[in-house]
Amino acid sequence: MKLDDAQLAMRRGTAGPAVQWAIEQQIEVGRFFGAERLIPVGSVLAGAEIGITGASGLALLERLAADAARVRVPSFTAACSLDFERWAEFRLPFAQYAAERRLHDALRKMGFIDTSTCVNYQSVSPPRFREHLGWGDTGAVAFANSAAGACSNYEGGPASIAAALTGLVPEYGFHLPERRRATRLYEVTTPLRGISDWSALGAWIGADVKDYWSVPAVLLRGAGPTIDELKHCLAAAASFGSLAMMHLVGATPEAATLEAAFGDTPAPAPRRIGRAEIDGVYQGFSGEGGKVDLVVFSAPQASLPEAVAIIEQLQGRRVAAGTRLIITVNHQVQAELERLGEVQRLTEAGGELLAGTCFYVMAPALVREQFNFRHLVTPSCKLANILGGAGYRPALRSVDECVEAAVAGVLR
Amino acid sequence: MTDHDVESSVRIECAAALGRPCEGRLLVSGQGFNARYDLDLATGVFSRPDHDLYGSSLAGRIYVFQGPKGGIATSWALDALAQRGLAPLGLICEQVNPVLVQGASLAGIALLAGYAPAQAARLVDGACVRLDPARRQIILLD
Repeated sequence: MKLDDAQLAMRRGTAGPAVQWAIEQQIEVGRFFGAERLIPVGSVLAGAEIGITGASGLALLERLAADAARVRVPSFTAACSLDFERWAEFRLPFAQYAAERRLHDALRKMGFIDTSTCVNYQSVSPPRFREHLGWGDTGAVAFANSAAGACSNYEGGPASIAAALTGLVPEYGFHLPERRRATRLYEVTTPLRGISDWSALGAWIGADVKDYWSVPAVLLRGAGPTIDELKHCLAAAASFGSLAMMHLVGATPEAATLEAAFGDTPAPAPRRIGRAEIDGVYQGFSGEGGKVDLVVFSAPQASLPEAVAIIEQLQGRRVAAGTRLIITVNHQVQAELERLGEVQRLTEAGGELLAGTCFYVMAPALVREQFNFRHLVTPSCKLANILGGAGYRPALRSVDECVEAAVAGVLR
Repeated sequence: MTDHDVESSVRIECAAALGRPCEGRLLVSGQGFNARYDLDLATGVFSRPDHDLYGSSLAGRIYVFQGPKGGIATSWALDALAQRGLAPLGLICEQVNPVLVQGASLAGIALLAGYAPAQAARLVDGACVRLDPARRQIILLD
């Protein structure tokens, strides 16, 4: 790998031990993937929450902060493992709160802007076409590559920290134009309605591909997705298939046409996705019927219009006794919902708003045990996919059906 | 096993590798892997009921799996396991994504990836192997 003088100086330790640690990590990973150089990034989104960093990750971040490490580009934090104001209501242990606090204090000390959001692209740091990024939330990476035409690999937790400290990433994968071309083709032959259908589409394609390096192109019938529908589609594709990029022909910037999506390579025959395939995803998360413990709108955090639509759908009705309706958002959306009086409407209806977290990172197995939760309803395939491994019986439903389940307290 | 025996052992070539050499017994899965989805991170034991290694521990084994799945959790989790002596000695998979490579790098765990699919049948659960990342080789010792 070719390093310039400044990068060589970082490697020698001229910029301090934290930067030296960071660039060594990046060189080893870059060499693995055959990167020829390190390139500058416009921003970083760091995936660091105590549930996945554990004590060793916390120790590393505190050591870096103690070594006077400072970010070199605008750097933001992804969702963390609790709402710092409401963690006790979920019977999360004080130790988790205290460790998360220390972790975020260390990140702030290094200069991270502590946004605690997985939808930074909808609020605090929208990506630019062809901008190189060092982002660490997989759904955010898939959105940046696909919907904005920006360029990022999955920069996992420690890699996103390293990117912030050097302002660089190894140039491989989705930083290279030739790796962004479509490699597979799908044709959707059924209308898709709402975020749950689009989430199911992402899940189906992700499960079919299961390869980070593949780039599906999708031919659509009818109107393209809204930004929130696209958000859920891409988050599910990343969750089910480790996908980092998808072209929607006519709807995403590097796929104005089918030919543009595939470049010099002829497009293959499409694999068709009809109503039966979409329904199959729902059937995979059918739940068990009967009483509903939780209705959760999360993974990714809800946008302002998503949250308002859910509250509107409640129409002044109350969530059933014994059922909890939870919406997770970032702090920016929370502030706007409060200003608009929507938080009050939600809480008067018995719903709950959590900020800065996403339900699946909030120690879901522990929460389930504490409250004896089991039956959960959500419009997010990503959430259903993850919580199945934490002992929940998730049911995938449309937003409207989720709200009705919360009001009735049962899944019909 | 003598050096001569090792020299004559079957070697599986891989496309990419990192880490230090190690030797141990294989723990083979036919599935993908994500530390958040599949593992109890407190114990290093597979906790997802429908995982084919459900109930097995990663500690001290050379873990063979199809490839990574899902999000970024694995990048931190491998180091968290390593710090508590619960990590695998090495990782072998057909496909990788950056998160797995970043995690193996941070944790100092050997990783070899991209062997020919026809070689998969040689990677049998319980078999003793040596990983040679510098040569990008899996050496079958049994």
